[in-house]
Amino acid sequence: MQSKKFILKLIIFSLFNLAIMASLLLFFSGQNRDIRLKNWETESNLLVAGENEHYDIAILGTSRGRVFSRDSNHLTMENILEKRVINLSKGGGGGLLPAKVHLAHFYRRGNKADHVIYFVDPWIFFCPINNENNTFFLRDEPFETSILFDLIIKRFPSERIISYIQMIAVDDWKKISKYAAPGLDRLTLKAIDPVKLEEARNHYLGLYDYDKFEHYSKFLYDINGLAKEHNSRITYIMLPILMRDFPGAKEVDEKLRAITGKNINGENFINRELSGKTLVHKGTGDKKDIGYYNLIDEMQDRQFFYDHMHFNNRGVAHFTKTYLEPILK
Amino acid sequence: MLFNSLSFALFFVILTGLNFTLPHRFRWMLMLAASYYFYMCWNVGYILLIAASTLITWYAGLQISKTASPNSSISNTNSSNKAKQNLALQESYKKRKRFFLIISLILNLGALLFFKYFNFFTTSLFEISTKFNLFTGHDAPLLHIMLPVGISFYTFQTVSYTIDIYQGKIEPERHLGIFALYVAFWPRIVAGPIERAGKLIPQFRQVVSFDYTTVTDGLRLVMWGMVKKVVIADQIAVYVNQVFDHCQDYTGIPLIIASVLFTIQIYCDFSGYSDMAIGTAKIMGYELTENFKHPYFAASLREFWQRWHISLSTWFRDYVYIPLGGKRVVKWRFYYNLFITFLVSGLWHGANWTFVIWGGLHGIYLIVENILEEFFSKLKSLKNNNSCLDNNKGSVRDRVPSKLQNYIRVAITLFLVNYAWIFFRANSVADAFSITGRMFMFGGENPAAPVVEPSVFILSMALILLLVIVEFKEQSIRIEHYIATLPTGARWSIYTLGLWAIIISTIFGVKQEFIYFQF
Repeated sequence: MQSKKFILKLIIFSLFNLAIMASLLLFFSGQNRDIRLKNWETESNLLVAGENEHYDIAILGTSRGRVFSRDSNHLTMENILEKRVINLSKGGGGGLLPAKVHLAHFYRRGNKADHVIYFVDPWIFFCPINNENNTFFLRDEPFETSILFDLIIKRFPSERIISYIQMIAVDDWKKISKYAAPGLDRLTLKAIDPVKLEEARNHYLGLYDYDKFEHYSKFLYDINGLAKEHNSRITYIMLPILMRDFPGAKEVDEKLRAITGKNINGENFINRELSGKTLVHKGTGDKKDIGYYNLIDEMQDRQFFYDHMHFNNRGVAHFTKTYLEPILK
Repeated sequence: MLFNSLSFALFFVILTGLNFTLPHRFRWMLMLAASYYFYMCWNVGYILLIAASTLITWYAGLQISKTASPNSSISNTNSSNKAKQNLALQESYKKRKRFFLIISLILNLGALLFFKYFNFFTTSLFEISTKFNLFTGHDAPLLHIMLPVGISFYTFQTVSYTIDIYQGKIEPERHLGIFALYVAFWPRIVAGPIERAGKLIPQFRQVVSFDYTTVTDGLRLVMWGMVKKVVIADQIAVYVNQVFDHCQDYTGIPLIIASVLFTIQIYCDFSGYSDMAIGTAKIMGYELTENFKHPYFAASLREFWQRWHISLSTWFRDYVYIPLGGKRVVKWRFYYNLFITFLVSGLWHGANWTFVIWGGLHGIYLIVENILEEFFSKLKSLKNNNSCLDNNKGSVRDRVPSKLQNYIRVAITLFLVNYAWIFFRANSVADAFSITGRMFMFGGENPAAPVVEPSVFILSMALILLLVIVEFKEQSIRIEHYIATLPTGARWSIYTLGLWAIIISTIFGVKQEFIYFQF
C-alpha cells in the first residue's frame, strides 16, 4: 500500500516535471530561426541553410571541407562552379554521425540540394572523437527540439545531448561562430616539418579505434539513404592531404568503392579530361546517383596548403577548378 | 558512474525496484552484484584488487578467530603440567593470531602504499638524494598506473575489521558473500563513509521492507546532497580553480575569496557526496554513519574533528591515536600522538606534501588548543580562588556573554580551518606558501578579466546564504525531517525547485569530480 502510494506520487511528480521540461524546450526551440547568415560569416549550419531553399550543391565534411567557405573561399567556389552552394561541413572534426545529423536537419527544414558532395577523411571512419564523442559539431547551432530528439533517438552520449541543450543559453551566434583560419590567406606553406608531420600522424593514430570502422561505415548507408530520399546525387571525395600513406586511407577507399559500386577486374577507373590533362581517378560510377573519387594523393604541392591538410585560398580555388568542377559536370 | 549522472539514475531506479521485489535471501547477491558493477564502471580491472583484499581479509579474520579459544583442546587444567601446556598453547595461538593480523595488514596496507604512495615516496626520496649528489642523472622510477578508486576507503574498512576481530570486539563474518558486500557496498565504496563491520554487516541480514517515511527521507537527503554538490560546490569551484591554479597572478582579495570559497566548496562537495551515499543507502534500507555534523559551527578544533568526516576521524582515533597511547600518557607523548595521528591523516588524504602539511597544521592546532585550554582552566581556577576573596572583580572573558564568546570561538576555529585548507587545495607547497604570503597584500595587480560572471557570483552568494541558513537550522532539525513537516504544496515546491536547480546546474553549469574521489 505504502509503495503504491509512493509510486503514484513519483509518477505524478515525474509527469509534472516532464511537462515543465517539454514546455521549456518547446519555448526555447527555434528562437534564433530568424537570424540569417552567410556561410562565410559563421560556422553555423542552421543559421545559413534557412527553410525551403534550393541549392545546387550541399557540402559535407570536416574542417577540411569547412575551409571551402571560410573567408572569400565560398564566393570563389560559387563563382568557379557557377552554382549555389551550402556548406554543412563542421570544423572541429565532424565525422559521419555529425554529418548525418546536419544533413537530416537540412532536409527536415524543407531544403533541397541537387548534389551532395561529401569530403571524407580517413580518420572519421575510426575516431569516436569525430563521431559520437565530438563535442564541437553542435556548438554553433541554435537549439531545435528536432535535433535534440535526433540525438536522443540516435543514442548520442548524454554529454553530447547536454552540450546541445546548453545552446539554449547561447544567443551571441555571430561572436561564437566566427573562427579564425590561421594561414588561410597565405598562399604557400613555407616548410613542412617532417617531425611535426609524424607527430600529427601519431596524434591521429592515437585516436584511432579500428573496431569502430564497420560501425561508422554503416552511417554511409544512412547518408546515402537520406540523399536518395530527397532526390540528391551524392559524391564522396577523399581530399588531398600532404601525408603519404595516411593511416586507414586504404580501408576507407576499399569501403567506399564497395559501397558506391562494384569493381571490374579489381579496379574500376573513370578517366576524365581535367583541365586539359588526363587524370586517372579511382572511382566508381556504377551505382546510380552515388559517386566516389579518391584524390588523396593529388595536389601534393605545399603551395596549396596552409598546414599539412588544410587548403589555403589557392588550394581551394585550384581544387574547385581542377577537380570539383569536372566532377560536377 | 557519478551519483549526479543519468546512468546512475537508471542504475538506482532498477536496483531499488529489484531490492524491494526480490525475496530477502537474494538481496545480498543483488547488492553484491550491483556493488561490483558500480565499481567496475570506474575501472574493470581493479575489481580483482577488491576481490583479493576481500578474500585475504575474510580468511585472516576466520583464522584469527579460530585461534581464540585454546582451552577446548586441553581436557584437564588442574595439574601444573597441563597449565604449562595450556600457557604454551595460548602463546602459540597468540603468535598465530598476530601472524594472520600482520599478514592481513601488510597485504591490505601494502596495496594501498603501493598504488597510492609509490610515486610519492620514490620522487621524494630522489629529491632528497639529489641534494646529497646521489642518483644524479637518474629519474625516479615511477608507476604509470591509475589509483584504484576508493582504495583508501575500503582498505580502512578491511583493516578495522581485522583489528576488531583480533581485539575480540567482533566475531568474524563466515559468509564470504556478505563479507564481500561489506567491503564493496556500493553507496560508500568510492568515498566512504568508512563503516565498521559491527554496524554494517548485521544490516545485510535484516529483512527490510518498503517504508514510505524512510524512502522519502532518503530521497530528500539525496536531493539536498546533490544541491550542495552540483548547485553550490561545482559552481563556486570555477572561481576557486581559476585563482588557485593561477595563484601567481593574484594578490589580496581574490586569494582571500578563493580560500573562503574553497572552504565552502570542499564542505559542500564532500558532505554532499556523503548525503547522497547515506540517502541512497537509506532508500534501500541501510543506515550508514553520519559523516558531517555542521563542522563549520565548531567552537574548537577538537569539536571540528568530531563533526568533520566523522567516520575517518573516529577511525584514526581508534586505530592510530589510541594504540599510540592516546591521552593517557605523559604530556609530551600525548602531543606527539596527536601530531603523528594528524600527520598520517594528512598523508591518507593524498600523496603530496601539501596534504602532509595540512595534517601537520591541524596537529599543531590541536596541541596549541590543548595547551591554551589547560592554561585558561588553570587561570580560571586561580581566578575562582581569587574571586572568593574579591567578588566585585571579573575578567573580560567573564563579562562577555557566553553566546558571543561562542561565536568568537567559532570564528577563530573557522579561520584556522580555512587557513589550513589553503595547503589542502594548493597545487604545490610553493603555491600554498605563495598564497598565504600574498593573500593579505592589498593593492597588487590582479588580472582585469573577471573570473566569473557577476550574475553567477551573485547567485553563488545567494546559494551560500541558503546553505548557511539550512546548516544553522539543521542544528535543531535535519533538513529532510524539516521538509517532511511542511504542507504538501510547500514540499512539492521545494522538490520541484531543487530538481530544477540540479538539472539547470548540471546542464548549464560546470561539472567537477568529487574532491574525495582522488583519495
